Amino acid sequence: MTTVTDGEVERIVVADQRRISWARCRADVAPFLTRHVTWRALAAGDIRSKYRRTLLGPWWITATNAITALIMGSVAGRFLGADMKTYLPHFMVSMTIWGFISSSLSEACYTMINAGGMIKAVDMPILIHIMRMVQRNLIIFLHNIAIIPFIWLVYPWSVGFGALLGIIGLMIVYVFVVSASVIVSMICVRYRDVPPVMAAILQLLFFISPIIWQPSHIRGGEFIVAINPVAYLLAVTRGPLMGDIPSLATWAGAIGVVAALTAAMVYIYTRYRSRVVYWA
Amino acid sequence: MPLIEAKNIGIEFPVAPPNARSFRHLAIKAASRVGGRVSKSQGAFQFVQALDDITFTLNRGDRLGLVGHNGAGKTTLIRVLAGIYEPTRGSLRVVGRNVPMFDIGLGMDEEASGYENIRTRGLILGLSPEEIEERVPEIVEFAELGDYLELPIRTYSSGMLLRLVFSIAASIHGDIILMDEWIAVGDAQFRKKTHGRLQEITLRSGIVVLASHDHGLLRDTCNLGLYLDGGRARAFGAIDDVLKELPTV
Repeated sequence: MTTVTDGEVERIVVADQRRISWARCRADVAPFLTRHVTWRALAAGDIRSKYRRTLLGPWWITATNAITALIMGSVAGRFLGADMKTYLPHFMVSMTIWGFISSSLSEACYTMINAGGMIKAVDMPILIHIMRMVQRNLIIFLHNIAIIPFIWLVYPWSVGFGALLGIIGLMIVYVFVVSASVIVSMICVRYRDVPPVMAAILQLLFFISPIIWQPSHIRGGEFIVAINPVAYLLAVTRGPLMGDIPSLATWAGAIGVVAALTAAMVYIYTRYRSRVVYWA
Repeated sequence: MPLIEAKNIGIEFPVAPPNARSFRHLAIKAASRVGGRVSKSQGAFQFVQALDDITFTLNRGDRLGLVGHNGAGKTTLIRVLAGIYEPTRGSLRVVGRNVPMFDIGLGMDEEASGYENIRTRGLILGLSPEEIEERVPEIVEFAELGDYLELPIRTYSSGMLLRLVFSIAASIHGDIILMDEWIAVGDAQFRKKTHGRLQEITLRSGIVVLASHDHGLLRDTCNLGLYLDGGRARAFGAIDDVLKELPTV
């Protein structure tokens, strides 16, 4: 446990890993706030580094997303025989939100494994590695979302003040992604079989969530939507943005899932944080 | 007031044999138990006792030299003091800010310029962007890399890269210097400069812990010595007495 008084840093470590107190949880999760400058700046550097010497820079993300929209709108639409006016906005908004969730979770599998060298060399809370990764994906998400207004211009739908609720929805999704990433990355660094399993789970979630299909399309199997956490996360983000205000039960479902996951994350992180350096 | 208080510190490393992390192996193990065959302890975690019952106290002005064979636990102890490994036994109290002078080149980005890497490395070391900006002129001056700092570091020679890395590490201010081997980088002139700088840093700081095989250096730098052997403290006391305990070659 580290305490800072009058600029003097005091660190006391007692080998007693089984005891989990509120104070320990708070101290462990604190870098999320106290070191936010660190992880945000490192993530921004990662993005800059990735698109160095390119013409569009990070706007390449937006451009590739625009191409996806164009293909879906012009070609796939004809095959699917769907009404592009409603289908394309639904697909693009869903895909953008899902992209943030799935790319964060698939990167989480290797975050701790790849950071192994640094974990063993620098006294930096390992939470920062996760936050850096999530922040990187958030920056990509924000670039992706820039395409949505253009789609709205082509196929407008009614947008009201209710859309602001979508911001609350996005905050819920953000907390979900952070908590799930911490759990996934800590399991993956210990059990190296999990990354491929995770890829399969993400694939499954993609198909059972209303992303390429709309909830109104399904005939039977509605319970899958009812028990799928991703469906709730999509409902509280995409719903308000597209003029479909979710019911209280849906909000409760989304918040419940995220709260349970976050509690699990805090427990797992506090309990096993100090072991990761030995597993990495 | 810098202080290091180590009480009965022990570190047990779990060493996973290649198979222990695999689900398939766990499944086979479980299945064979059902079938009555006992799989040999192969695949179970083994433990390496890297440190065992280490106790010492360092106060302001103490310079501790760590000596011992390869694998005696010197680097592990330095990493415990740095807060990287948490002791699995005993307790540790550290008052003061650490200056890690080991693995100083990690987290650098090949494609980024020298300046950008100064910032990245500073962030990793826990500095705020403002603190980093304050240090940039000092780092630039010490590294003597001039306009090269504008270029991606992949264009640097290895000596130039070490100059940059050392200059960043040496710009950190703190009370406790942790060093795994004395750092000597660059050409003859820069080597002299780094030596001078390290001496200055070790004199200025409150506590120094230095792991080294160079007895002359240890005698010059340290007042205390800790002789580690197989993770245990064989001798602790004045550096000259501890060095006498070491088997002569």
